[in-house]
Amino acid sequence: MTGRERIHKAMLLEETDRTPWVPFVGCHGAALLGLSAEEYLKSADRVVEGVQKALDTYTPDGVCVMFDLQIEAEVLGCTLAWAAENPPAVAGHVLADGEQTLENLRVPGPEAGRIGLSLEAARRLREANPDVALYGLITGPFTLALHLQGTDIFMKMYDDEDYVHRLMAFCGQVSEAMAGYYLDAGCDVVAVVDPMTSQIGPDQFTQFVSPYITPVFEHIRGRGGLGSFFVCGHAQQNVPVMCDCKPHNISVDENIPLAFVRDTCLARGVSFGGNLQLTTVLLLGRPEDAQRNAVECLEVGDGKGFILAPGCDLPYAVPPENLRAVSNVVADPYQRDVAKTLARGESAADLLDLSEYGQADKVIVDIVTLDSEACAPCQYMVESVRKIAPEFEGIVEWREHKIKYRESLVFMTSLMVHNVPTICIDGEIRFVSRIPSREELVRAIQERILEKLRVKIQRKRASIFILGAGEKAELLAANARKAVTELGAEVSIESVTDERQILAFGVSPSLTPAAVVAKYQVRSTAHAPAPAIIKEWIKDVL
Amino acid sequence: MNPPPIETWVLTGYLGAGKTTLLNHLLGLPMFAGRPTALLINEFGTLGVDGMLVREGDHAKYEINRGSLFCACTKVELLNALADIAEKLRPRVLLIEATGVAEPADLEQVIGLPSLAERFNVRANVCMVDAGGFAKVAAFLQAASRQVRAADGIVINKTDQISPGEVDRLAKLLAELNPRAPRTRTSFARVEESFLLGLEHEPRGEAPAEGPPPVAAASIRGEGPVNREAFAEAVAALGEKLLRLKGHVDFGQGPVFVELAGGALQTRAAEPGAAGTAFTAIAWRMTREELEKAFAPRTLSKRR
Repeated sequence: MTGRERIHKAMLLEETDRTPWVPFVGCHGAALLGLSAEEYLKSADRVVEGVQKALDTYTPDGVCVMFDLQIEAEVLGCTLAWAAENPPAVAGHVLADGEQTLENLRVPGPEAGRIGLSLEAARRLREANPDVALYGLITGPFTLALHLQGTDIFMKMYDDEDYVHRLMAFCGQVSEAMAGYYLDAGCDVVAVVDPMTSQIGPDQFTQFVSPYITPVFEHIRGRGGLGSFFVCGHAQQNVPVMCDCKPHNISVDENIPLAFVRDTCLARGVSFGGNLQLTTVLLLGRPEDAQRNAVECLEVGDGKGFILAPGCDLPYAVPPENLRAVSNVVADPYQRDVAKTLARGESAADLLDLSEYGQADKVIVDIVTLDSEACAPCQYMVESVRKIAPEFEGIVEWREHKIKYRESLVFMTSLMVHNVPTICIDGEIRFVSRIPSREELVRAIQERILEKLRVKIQRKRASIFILGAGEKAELLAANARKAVTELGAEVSIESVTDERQILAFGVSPSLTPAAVVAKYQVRSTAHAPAPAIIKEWIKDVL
Repeated sequence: MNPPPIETWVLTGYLGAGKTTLLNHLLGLPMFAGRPTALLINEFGTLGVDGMLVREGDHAKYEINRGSLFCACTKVELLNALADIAEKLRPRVLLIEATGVAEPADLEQVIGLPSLAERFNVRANVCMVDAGGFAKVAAFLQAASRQVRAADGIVINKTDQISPGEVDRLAKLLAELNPRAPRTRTSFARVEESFLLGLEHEPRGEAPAEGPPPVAAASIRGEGPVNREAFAEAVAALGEKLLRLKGHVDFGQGPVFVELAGGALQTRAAEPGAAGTAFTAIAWRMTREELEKAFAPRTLSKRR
């Protein structure tokens, strides 16, 4: 099944072989090319190049041509403020500034301003990528009305309701025309992006938005296209009335619980999408955070009619590895299982203090797996260790940690392991998602044994306590000093004559002179290790 | 040793409520004057409706006005600006003027990110309310009441523009929305320093749960003539629940312009092009359906 087929089927609530995923690459395409958002969004060549790079990098099922909701407003006369790492913002609202009247505005044609370059990019991307679903994004009527009028539109809803209706009717006509242009250019999906509707309640939505956006979706349906209603922000209250506007799909961001969207949309025969977290996870998180978030979304949405997507335009600087990580869990059931298991139990509060881990005499080899009986890569990794273990009999201990068990998961997290399978030697990550050759593994263990030996020699300190007084005791002390000198060892000689102290060593004063040898090892400094770690030390001395 | 967190004041309120005037007033107060201060201005549009500019001074000014329509862009820009302020500028005080459509919980979420949480200490979130405009904005713009709900202190501004009775009623509405936040009444945003010093910040977690809108608006339209007495009775029956009413009503001799102002209904000649009955009413403590029912043209067409 191609990505394009997958998107079509998901939108139409039909079965798919897996959940499709669409990263909304807008100005992030510029980042992929090392350009500013302005350089990118003003050139069809750049947009084609950036989107193509995103397709090659993230292998998604669908992709946007452009994510710039200011294109229509700019054509209609609004001034824009450009930014290096964001889409432009509308700086001057053409109707509020008195530069233009609503009656004089005309629906722009397909070649006007940057509409032409976006359509050209759509046609070229269509031709080059017949198997990918192409999304043409248009500004929703209410957001366009805000662009043209500014926020005093909220005041005008009371002060001049008829005007707001006329303005919305015009913006609806613009949206309908834009939808037609994108369908003509070969787009599969027209996404009507209307984030500002999150600012109003369902009463106002039905009054001011529904009458003008419903014909847009009807037009898309009439042309055989697919219509998706994008909204972001706190728009939960409007999801039911959005469904009534006849889109094929509703896509939301992290501000609306996905389960609510699923239940509301499916009950009304509308497919749904969302809602990877844009800022805290995709932009600021690590790949494993992105995977965990993707798995959470997939858990809620999996099944008919779901498209995994971020809630809005991806931030310019989103790390590509985070998006690749999402692609991996979508396409690879094994990676999804791993991420799902990790998502179940990782919690900083549970972390073990393993800073002293691996200080015992024996070398510990830990193999962190999903479950070697159920997962082939895990099985091969465990086998590789099992085969060489007899060569290190009595020196090396190995164990498997199956992260399906909570304690193993906590152990894994505490060791800062993020992938499975992984081999750690004495708590240090050595082989990640790669089965080492026999030679590599033996060499890694031998290196560790030698390192420990060095440390052990350096760390050892000892004392000889000479218990008792008198000539014999002095002779014993003199012999001890001679022995220490001849060996060059770092051993101190202490004389103990107090009878209570002699008794404390477990020696009766009547049996003096006596000698007690004590060996010291520094096992921790400047903190209080957990009992689990201290137990390891105790095992060493018993 | 880490530097002390930056004392942060958040100013919210709908465009035109007087946030910029308040900002200028605050910069002159002893509690802010003379302390290294940074301003972070996140307004929608170029200038406030009154063309007010933040006065020049020794403060550094950051403006976030790029793509501020959309959540992701706003958050990233805000995040970058805050990181810049914390790392490079390190002022003692930060005043944030939020956009009128901002969700306060989103702002706090960004400030609460691990990389920023210890750098900023939100001292208080102050919401400016335009005494004359709040009710009609709150009926349409959800952020207006969300900002009031999230506030640690509420400034009712421009009280000279409406009657004391209307200010009292607005104060009641605000108290229902947010019983915790102290309120003060001003003109020209001249807030007493003692009011600000007495505020205590209550951190907000998630955005407030969706509830019924605190203020409902209904658009009433009808073809036939409206009985004048029945209309007056409907207005009287709504009493103080009715906050605003404006539009045209045809009492039998063609439409006249009707407006509830200063607590009383006033009428004047219809505006050009007006036809039939078409007016908007705004009320609180009731739903849109109840409000529509109270003014159903069919009910108003005959004497009760």
